[in-house]
Amino acid sequence: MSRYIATRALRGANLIVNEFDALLQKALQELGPDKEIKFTNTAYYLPTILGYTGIEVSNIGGLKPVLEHCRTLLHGLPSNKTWLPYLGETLDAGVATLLAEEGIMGIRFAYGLEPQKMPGLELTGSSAPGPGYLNGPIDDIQLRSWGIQLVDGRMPGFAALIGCAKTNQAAVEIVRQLQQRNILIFLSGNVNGRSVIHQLMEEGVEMGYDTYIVPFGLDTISTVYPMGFATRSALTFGGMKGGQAREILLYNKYRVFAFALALGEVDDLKYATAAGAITYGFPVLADTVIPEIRPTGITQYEHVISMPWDDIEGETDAEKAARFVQRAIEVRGVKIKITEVPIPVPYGSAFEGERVRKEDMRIEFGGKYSRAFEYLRMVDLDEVEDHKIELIGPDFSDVPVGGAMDLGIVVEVAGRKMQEDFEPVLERQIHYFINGASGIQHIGQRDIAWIRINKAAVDKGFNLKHFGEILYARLHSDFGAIVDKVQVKIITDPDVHAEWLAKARVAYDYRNKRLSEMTDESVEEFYSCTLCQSFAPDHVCVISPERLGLCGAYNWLDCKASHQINPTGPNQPIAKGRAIDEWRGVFENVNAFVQQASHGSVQSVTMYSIMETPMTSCGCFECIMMILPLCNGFMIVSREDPSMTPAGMTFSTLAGMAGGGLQTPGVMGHGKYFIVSRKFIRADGGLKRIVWMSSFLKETMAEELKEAAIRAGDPDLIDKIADERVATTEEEVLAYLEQVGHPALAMEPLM
Amino acid sequence: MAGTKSIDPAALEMLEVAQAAGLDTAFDRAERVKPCPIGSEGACCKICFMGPCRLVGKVTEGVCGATLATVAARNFARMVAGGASAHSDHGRDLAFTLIAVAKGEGQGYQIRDVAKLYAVAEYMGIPTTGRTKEEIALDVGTKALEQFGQQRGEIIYTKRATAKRQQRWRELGLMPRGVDREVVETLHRTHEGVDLDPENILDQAMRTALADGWGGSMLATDLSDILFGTPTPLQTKANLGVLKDDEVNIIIHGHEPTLSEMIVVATQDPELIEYAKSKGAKGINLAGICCTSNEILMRHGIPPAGNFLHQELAVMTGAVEAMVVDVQCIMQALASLAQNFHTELITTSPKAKIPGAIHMEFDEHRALDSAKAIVRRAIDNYPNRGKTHIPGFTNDVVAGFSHEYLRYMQGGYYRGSFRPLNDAIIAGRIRGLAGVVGCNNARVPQDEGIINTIRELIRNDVLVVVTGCAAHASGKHGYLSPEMMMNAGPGLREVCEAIGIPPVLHLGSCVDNSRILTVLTQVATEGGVGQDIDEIPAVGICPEYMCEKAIAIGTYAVASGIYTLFGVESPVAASEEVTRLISEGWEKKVGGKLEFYPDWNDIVRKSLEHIDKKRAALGLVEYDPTRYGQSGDLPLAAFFALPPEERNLYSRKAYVQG
Amino acid sequence: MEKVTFHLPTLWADHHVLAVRELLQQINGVQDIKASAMDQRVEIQYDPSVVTAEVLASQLAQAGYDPTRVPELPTYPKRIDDASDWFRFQERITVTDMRDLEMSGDFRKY
Repeated sequence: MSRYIATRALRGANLIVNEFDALLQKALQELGPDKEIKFTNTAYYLPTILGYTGIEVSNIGGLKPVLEHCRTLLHGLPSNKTWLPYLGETLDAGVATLLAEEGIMGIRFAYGLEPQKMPGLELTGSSAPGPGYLNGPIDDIQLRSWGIQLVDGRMPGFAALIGCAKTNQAAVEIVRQLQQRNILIFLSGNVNGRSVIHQLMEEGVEMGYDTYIVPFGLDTISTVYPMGFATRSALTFGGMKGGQAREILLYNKYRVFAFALALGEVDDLKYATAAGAITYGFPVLADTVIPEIRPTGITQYEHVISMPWDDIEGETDAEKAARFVQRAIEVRGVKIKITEVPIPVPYGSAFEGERVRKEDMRIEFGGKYSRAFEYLRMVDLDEVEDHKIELIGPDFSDVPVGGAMDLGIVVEVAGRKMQEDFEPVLERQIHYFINGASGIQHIGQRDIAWIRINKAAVDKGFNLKHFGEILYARLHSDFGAIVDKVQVKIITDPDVHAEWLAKARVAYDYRNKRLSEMTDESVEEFYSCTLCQSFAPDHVCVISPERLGLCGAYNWLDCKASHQINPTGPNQPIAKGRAIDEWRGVFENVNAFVQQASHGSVQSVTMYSIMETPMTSCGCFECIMMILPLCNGFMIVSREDPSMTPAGMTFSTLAGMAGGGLQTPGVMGHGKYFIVSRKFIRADGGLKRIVWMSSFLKETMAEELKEAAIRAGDPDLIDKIADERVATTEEEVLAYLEQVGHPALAMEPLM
Repeated sequence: MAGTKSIDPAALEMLEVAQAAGLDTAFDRAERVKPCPIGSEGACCKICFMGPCRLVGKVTEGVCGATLATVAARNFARMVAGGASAHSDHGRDLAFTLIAVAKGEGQGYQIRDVAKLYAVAEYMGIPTTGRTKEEIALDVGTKALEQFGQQRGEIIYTKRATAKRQQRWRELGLMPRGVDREVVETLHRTHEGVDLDPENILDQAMRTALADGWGGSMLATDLSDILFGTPTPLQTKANLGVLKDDEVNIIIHGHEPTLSEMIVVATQDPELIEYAKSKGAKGINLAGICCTSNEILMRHGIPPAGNFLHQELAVMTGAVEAMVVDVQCIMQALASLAQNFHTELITTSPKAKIPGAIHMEFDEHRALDSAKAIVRRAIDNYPNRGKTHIPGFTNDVVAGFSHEYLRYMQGGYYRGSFRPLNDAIIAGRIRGLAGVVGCNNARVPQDEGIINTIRELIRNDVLVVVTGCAAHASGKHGYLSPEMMMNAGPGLREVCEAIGIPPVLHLGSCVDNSRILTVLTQVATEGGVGQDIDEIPAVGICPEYMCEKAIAIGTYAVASGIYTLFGVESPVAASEEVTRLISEGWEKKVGGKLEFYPDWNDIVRKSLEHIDKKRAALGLVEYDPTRYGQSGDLPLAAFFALPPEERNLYSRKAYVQG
Repeated sequence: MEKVTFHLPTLWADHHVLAVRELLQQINGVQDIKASAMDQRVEIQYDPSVVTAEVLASQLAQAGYDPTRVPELPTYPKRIDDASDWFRFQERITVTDMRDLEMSGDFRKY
């Protein structure tokens, strides 16, 4: 702290705690102590308060001990002369500020004032109650679905933008710079009533989870939501418990790469909130003149940096923004590799979720009116000319605006370490690679691909060959270890299109067959995945051909490819070795590996059972399965399902039990496609044991589930499985099972 | 010429007063009484009555054949034993007090810092769950007492050192077993005709010193914290100007906090304040001298009137109703000097009586009563006050940095650690650490060595911690005020501004040198600047040492791995062999070495060389004074001076150069 | 068109800025508002034929933004006081917290 900052922060902290006090007294009077307080769909109560103090606030009365705790953390202001030390005091006051801010938000929720209204705002993907609202706190579902990306480094961290940039252009450019680095962008605060949220809205920047931009609220108090997000990432992925404040803060310092950008003037509350953020190890950069704090220690590098906007080198706001964001990243100490993709539109994962609406669309490929396919194959080294991008057929200039046309994307790769098995792994990446371009939307895969290009992208000069440029650049940068040469054919000529589509379909069929033949018995090695250990230090996934990773993002082939790319990386082959129990899936070498990789906390893993030493979970699971003892079976709740389950807990609450690398018989996180695997809890009775399942799963995986049910010898099984529409308590599930005659009731007792 | 006696303007003013009044002070006596040239260099052996033997000129051995090295080593070891005894006896008395409080027999005392009691109990392996604080305190007091009489094993606090250091002590046979045992063994081994190997004698000197630093002193610090509270920073003033013309001035002088704590309580007693007013005074003003002053300064903000050489000067102000003394560093001359004024010299310890002084024995079982009686007596004396002369010099002081607070201030309740300090050292903002400690010595100009050393060190970005009379000197000259960061190097200034500290930190009294050991151990375990104390870029400096306690402190600092530099003259200068043994010899064994440099310029030079050497050994970046200093409020002074509407928030260039 | 500036000590954070702006925007004759929580100041441009500075001031004061009202800060017991948080709340840790090193990943090095 500098004394100026300390003085302002301490004053802000004292005043906000007073405001919290006054508001609490008012709420106690008006709403009563028993009035419920609940953030949007979270199992972590008021997360920041939970993290720092372990207090589980569920009603207004529960805030009283929080207020008392705030008071103990506060201090007076440093004097002007012969002052006493202020750093520790200011940081404590910063914590008090966050606790008070979250308390205020809790009370606002109780009054129905949160999330705040914002007429005209429409978010693509959000926890907001509807259009015209700001997002409010991020819910657990979203936190978990970002989990794997936060963990594997695709999403390095988050930036909290507080206030209002000097110009709209500056705001947009800063956000673009962050998006290109896949950094989550959290917005709050205002200057003279204007917020960066207004600025982005005016400039037509799409906001919402899908574009990595989350507008929380128009005041600085809303900045506590990002802090709650940070706290929950430690609770969710780090396996920490509420009240383990030091661990949670250090976890954030070392593993969550977040920072705050203070845009525009900085008032007392912004300083106080910044002091709170610094306890998490998050540095603060301002675009105005404020005192800097450069000595390090609480944060990894500088604590507070001032980069007045007019002093930043550069002619345009774009150049300034690039320097500003670059500095922020340096100060936070994040190493981010950005792949330069030579296309005329911005590029980064943050644009993956961007949608192209019909009215903005220039042209589409695939969908209802045309057919698009993509096919990646391996060829000999001498058959590929690296960086050759061919357009076979006409481009889309003759197609009317809003029209459609056939398209084929054929990628041919060659490399000494390339294997045929990696073809589908790389092909699946085409979706992500192409989606990264701003203004381009990609859905589906293989011959059901559907690509849209918006007018703005075409105006900037985007053409078909740029698909090739993207694929060329990304394949080299992401898979350089196995891919030496890449050439791309973009096909629009009808004859050539038909010819290649046929070839592609042969390959798809071959691959399907190969995949279905690939069983755990047919391979010698499984793969480990310790990608999440940066977040959940004791968790290890064991991935076999018939059991994919619990995040759903890594299957056996992915791991195999990943091991080729980075032989010392998180995916290591585990030679199965002697089977201790073939039926249950217990293997000598797997156990040995897990013991070592979990640092001794897990001794044994049973691959095909949930009841005995099941596999642990980090926190990014797609589904959670849990025993329902009364029904003699299991329920599966998906991440997307926010409703109450028969276990008496929502997904978020269950996740607390399943995550963090803990082995709990009867509770397990898993990927959704594991449900249709032959090895799915084989030891416990397989799919027939499933008595309840989120309807979301039933709908999105209808085909696959049907097939699995037939395989299980009961074609109507899926309909016999209850879901949240028919049962939300165990008793109701049981009644339903009896009514439909579910096979689980006749199976041997689980317990 | 007065200028060669002190650099403190208050002292110079009082010396003129003394001269005018024809009063004698230590400054004058130091000129009259020349130091014995043989004894001062360690060449005099008076251990048996065949001597004393003077090993000078062609005489290279005594009657028994003892060599110069043996004689000097024995003298040195006995100094260490003397110093260790002083600190440890002080610690022992606190253990007795704690036991009395635990039993409910310590009138007026309480267990003020329960958190610290728990922390200490944990170190000592004393169970705490489900027990009252009195029960725990009784066990802690008893366990502490055991450390003094323990015959075998290891002093319990040595396990607070790094594992590496403990191992080294064990391997070298330096691990102290019990405080009393080491002192007795030293006295035995230096008796006539016992241990005659200088190196072996000096090893025992180190072991005895360690029993002091990691035993008696550390216990004294911890037990004081439990009884009187762990210090936290507070603000006050220092120097003779703190005496008040219109109030009853009581000066407490000596070393133990037990009595002074109660006097602090008594001076706040409304009844006694009323009583003082009834005698025509506006109130009761308490001030301190020497380490008892440090104790109550750290915990209550009682202003220090000065350090060791100020004791006579304070009496000569004519404004002191009573000077209350306990043990250590009390000049006998006070008794006769006080005869010239109304000042009453009151001795309180059965261990320390002075002919001509009033003895009011202090009993910790009736502590408050004793204290009140003393204060009442001082008030009674107020009407007898004659002409006064109080020099108007004071400086602002921030004191009270316990090692617990040092941790807190670097991150608060949730993130406190030593990481920011280590980071600052690694990055080169802070070049290194220095502890400047110790006494005044009338043979050298008062405060000159201390202040010049500190000034140069902070200018070179060395963070300084001070204790004892060196701390008083820093306070008197303004070095303990946070504004002094302006005179620090740019990197250190930045760190000071970030935390809000002065560049010189007041860690307490001379037993609180043990806090430095705790701090350095934490710095080592925090990581990045070496695994043990001897690898840290740090030095210990005692520019104006005067007593045996200083030698004991210096020796345990060295044995703990600190390069330690003393000013004045070496007490073993006569023997080249001993001089070599305690420098290079000890460095090979324990990593620290003890050296003596009469000129403070040499001390500064050697300190910086050592710090840079250690930095290089750790592979840290080379210290560069121009690299840092850009951050903080300071560069924005011109910006803040403008009214809000004239500030351009988006450009700093208009206000800041570069 | 006239301009008036108020120094409002209770305008110390940006949620007050929102409140003050909302309040002023509803008053006829107010044309432009510059509210700064950093300087605790609001600058109002208004049409003197419709509204007066006095009305603006009184409206602000009614909503709790009174130029004379300085928000009170609590007083704290001094650290040397037994009632201060230092004695009630703080722990006395004198060793390195090993969690710091374990979490940093530097642990293996030392």
